Amino acid sequence: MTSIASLPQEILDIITNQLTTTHLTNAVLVNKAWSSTFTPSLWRELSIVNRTIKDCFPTLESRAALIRNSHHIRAVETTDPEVVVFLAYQHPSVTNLSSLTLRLKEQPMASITQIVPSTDITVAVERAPEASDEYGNAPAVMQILLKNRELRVLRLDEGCFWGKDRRRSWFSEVVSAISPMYLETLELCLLPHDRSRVNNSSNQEGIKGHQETTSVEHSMVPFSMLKELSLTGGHNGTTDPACLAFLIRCPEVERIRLDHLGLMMMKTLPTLLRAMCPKLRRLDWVNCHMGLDGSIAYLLQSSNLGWKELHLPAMHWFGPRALSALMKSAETLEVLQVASAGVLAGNAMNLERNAMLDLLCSAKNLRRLEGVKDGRRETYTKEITVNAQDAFLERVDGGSDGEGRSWVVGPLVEYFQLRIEGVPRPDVLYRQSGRPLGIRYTTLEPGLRYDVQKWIYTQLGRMTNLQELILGQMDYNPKVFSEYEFEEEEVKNPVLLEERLLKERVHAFHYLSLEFSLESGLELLSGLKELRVLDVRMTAHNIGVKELEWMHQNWPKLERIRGLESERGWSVDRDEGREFKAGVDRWMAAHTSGIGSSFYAL
Amino acid sequence: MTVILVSSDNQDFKVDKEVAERSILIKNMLEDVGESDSPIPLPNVTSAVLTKVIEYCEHHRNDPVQVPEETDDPRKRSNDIEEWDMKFMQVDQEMLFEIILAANYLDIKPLLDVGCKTVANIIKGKTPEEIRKAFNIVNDFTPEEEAQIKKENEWAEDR
Repeated sequence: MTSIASLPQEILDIITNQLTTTHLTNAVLVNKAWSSTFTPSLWRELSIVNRTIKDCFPTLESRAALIRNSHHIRAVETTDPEVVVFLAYQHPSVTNLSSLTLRLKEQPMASITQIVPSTDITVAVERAPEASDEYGNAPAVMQILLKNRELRVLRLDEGCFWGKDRRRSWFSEVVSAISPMYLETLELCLLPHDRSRVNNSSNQEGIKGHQETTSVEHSMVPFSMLKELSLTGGHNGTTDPACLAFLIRCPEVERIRLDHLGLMMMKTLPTLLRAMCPKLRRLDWVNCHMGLDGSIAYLLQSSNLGWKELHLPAMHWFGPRALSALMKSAETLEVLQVASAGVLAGNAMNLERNAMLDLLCSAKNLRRLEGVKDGRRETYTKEITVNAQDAFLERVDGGSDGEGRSWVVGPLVEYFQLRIEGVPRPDVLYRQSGRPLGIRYTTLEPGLRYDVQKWIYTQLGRMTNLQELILGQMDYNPKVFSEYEFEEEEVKNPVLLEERLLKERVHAFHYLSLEFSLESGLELLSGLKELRVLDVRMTAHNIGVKELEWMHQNWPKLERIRGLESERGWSVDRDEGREFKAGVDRWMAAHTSGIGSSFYAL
Repeated sequence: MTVILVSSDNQDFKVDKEVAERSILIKNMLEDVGESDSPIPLPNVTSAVLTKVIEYCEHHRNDPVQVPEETDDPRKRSNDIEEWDMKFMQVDQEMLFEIILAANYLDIKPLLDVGCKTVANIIKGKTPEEIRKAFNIVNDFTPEEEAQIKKENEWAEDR
């Protein structure tokens, strides 16, 4: 009889990958066969985060079980230095780790003399290193690295580089202890010193520490499998640029993750990356406090081959030089994500008004264009924006080559998030609150009303594999509300919120947006057969029952429209608007499983 | 164009090449052999199981080639089984494991995934007793053994 115990391990792995340890603790209690089948999976990952090994293994039985099953452990993640001591000096050793994540900086350092008597994990503790006064995290971390030669993923924070007295850094020694054979992902903190200690220590001791560091022989064997590298802690002025010398061992790295960089690192790193990591094509830059146009531009030049993926933080100072560096990768770029476009929005200082248009006209490999994430928007956040009217006029006036200013983004695009503004709309006369719009919105030439929209639909209509079209505004970060001390009513009611934000000079509602009405040329989007989500939140769209019927027919996979609910309070038809909304509500109530026809095939 | 597959109990199954090629094993075999009418023996698959596997491949004949999923947390992904697949997998557990083994042997990755997700979903959120019931298993632990295992694994709970 075929049972779960007759499945080979690789199939069991696929099954157990779907299960949490809690599920597995139940599985091992089913019967003896299940127990031996699932025990290795249960012990595969040891995660002791914000707890201690003593919390997790308080009894003698549980510690005996830990030692008995330690050969099953493949992945460890911990914040507890005692786990590090266990892995380093316990016998029999854990030698099969493929993933190790140590975050030790929040904890006091481990020391053997302290640990061993206080726990009962004393089957046999190996002789600790000779320099017995030099206990601390770093020597133990090195022990683990020397025993586990098949690591694929390794993450170390600065606490891993501390010796007993945090005066000198063990960064180079620890990195030298890593087996380069199989390592694919490496995360290192470049902040190995405890800065306060460094400042307090006398010069003499500083020099002594330096001599010790240089006396160790450093490995130069390349990490030939290493594709992903994460470097954090580069913001601190005390970072020793010599730490970066290990980059010479990383010639295969394709993806790098960086957090906030200090000026020093901004100046050093790009040159090093170009020279030492020639295959670099993906950048995750998660934080940027003070990057100025020039230094952003400099960092964007770190790739020799041209970027494929760029994940950028809020770029408040992104300007002409950074744009020009970005445009060098325009043809290779597949993913562009910018948490906030800053002046990249195109209408701020010293950048051309419609800078983003250049990218849309040359990024022929673009798959994803992503702006700020939902719920993360701040009041000063700017989405990546194009001005539709300008884009249209440039296309017409651009003259001789006709289609020359057409967007090249097309069938490859899966996710497209863009603020399209400047769509002339003579029917939009009021704000949601009933107050008139400013003069610059109402003096646009009426003849252009649909020409511009149709032209934009034509561009979007080429994205035949598009799954999500995000043209609306993302929700605000809740922090913003506390910042301005909004009333609860204002947060709940979009009309009041808009009024309030206007007082802060923030435009929350987007009045001159695409209509998405059949009159404005919605049919031009009939090729978007893969579309699942349309987001038109806080825009003055004009989607009524007719349009919903059309979408039902033409966009079979459409699940939902975000921002459909609105009373159309921006037009002349304020009473009709309520009827319009009631019709939409009735239609939606009748189509609860999604809008697209594929949900109603049977 | 059709190919003939022969199950372990010597039954012939005539299927469209396109359907058979959902199996990477068969696809590779056909590429190696070239144009040929000779039947393909599948000594590891019984006719009952092969019938089910072919039913799956027929239904999914036009699916695009699977791209590796983005590395989201796999634990969150097991609920996303299509409705048809869910119904297809409503078989007795012996058949379920046989289908998984056959999918592994024939190298039909989507079927293997669906099968494994189905098993995982049965285990998820159940007490040991409920799992025993679901898989029709007799508990062969003594109460002492059970208590011992519980104690040893306390570390892994509450997460």
